[in-house]
Amino acid sequence: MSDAVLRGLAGVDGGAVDADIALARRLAAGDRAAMEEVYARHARALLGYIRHRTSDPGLAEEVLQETLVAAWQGAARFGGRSSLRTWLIGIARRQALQAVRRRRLPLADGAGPEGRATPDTEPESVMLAAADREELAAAMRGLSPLHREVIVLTFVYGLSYPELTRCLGVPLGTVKSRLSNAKRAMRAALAGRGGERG
Amino acid sequence: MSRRADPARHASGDLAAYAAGAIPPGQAAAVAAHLRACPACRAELAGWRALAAGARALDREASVAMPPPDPATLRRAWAEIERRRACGWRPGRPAAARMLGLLLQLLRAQIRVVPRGVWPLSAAAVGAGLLLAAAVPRAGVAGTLLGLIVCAIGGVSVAFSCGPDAEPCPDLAHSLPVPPRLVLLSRLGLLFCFDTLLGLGGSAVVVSLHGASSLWTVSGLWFGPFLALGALSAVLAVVWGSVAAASGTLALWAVRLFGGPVVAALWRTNGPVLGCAAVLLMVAVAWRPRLA
Repeated sequence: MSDAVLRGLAGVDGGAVDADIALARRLAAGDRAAMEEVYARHARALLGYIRHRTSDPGLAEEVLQETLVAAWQGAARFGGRSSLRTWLIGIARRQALQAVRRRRLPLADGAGPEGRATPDTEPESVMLAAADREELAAAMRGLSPLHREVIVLTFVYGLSYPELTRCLGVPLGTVKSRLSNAKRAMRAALAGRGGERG
Repeated sequence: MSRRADPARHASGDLAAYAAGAIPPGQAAAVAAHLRACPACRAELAGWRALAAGARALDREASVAMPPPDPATLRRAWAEIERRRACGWRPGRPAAARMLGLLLQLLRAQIRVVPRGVWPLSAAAVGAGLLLAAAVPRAGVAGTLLGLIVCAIGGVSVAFSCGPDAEPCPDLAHSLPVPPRLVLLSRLGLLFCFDTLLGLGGSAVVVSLHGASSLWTVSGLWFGPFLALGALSAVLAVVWGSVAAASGTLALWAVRLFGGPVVAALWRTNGPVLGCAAVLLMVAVAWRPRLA
């Protein structure tokens, strides 16, 4: 399947992708200005994502550095199937996992088996819709890293399903079931907080 | 990709992406059309939108607390790139050492995934087979006995190492930047290599005990069927699970044991048997991503 078709499937803007490809080519050619542009445009978002995976600020900067080096190393292979930012997030994710493993910190937990996505139940949605943002943010903090990650990538970084499957390295069905499970976990966390208050 | 609105089907699977605004325009229009007619999906969408708001609130909170990236990180990254370029690294061409490191990391991860008992039990089974082989007078019978044992351990070890219950998913999927098919292939490669080495060691002992046959002849008694049975076990394990795979392969093994000379004539290392093994292996690898 051609890159153009894949872009279409992912709903990626062709003009923006061409600019991303051009930037990646310059980076692969060893253009320092290209690296500075990548840093200026994406470093903050990348660091924000990495901080979702590790609370250690020093380690987060280290992972960002390794991400930039790995981006240079892999820039020639960037084909524009996703935005450059999504591609960089995928690299940051791998670098963060490697760094966490090297330091023998706990990996993102499994959060239980991932079954098929099940139809949503209305009370769950009602409960989420009725919660205020502070409650939702607090419930998010209590989610497993696996669930928090898929929510952050979807709703903060706006990754499409095809981009999520590539970034997380799992099939589409798993992406959808992980999102559903995350939503269910949010509901359980909100119910728990409600119980604590009561 | 555009998709027609199907009023009979709920849009549950697309609502998260729709709430995130991360859906192609054609598909978004189809979801919007469905939403107009479906109160249940509208309620579900409200839940996803609330979740999105919570995620963005948490991110804003974290962004405010987070210091901006340290400019020294960019300088250090560039210094590392300069160092690598000076050593001959070029973008797009991963160093052979790095590829080898990744392969070793992948294989090491598979050792952890395979149930611990597989290695000593396989070796013990071959040891027991050799004791039996030493007790029989003819090299052919001794080789057949050993071959049957190697085939059984091949099928059973694959069954309990490649099914969904052996999968530490999503931990392993997370810890390695490789697709699930390659993970399965490397695990099968590791198991096949280990069992083949055991079988070759056992065959060498049979040859030295009886002296009448060559290592090639004795190994030929089991190598092809062992690969085919292992590959069949892999297919059954990824499609129906470990118990089905172990039962299926042991049933086939029993057919060989009690099936008489016709089945024995088919139980050989030859082109069709090896071809069968290759096809089954491809089926297992093709099916693997559905496990996750």
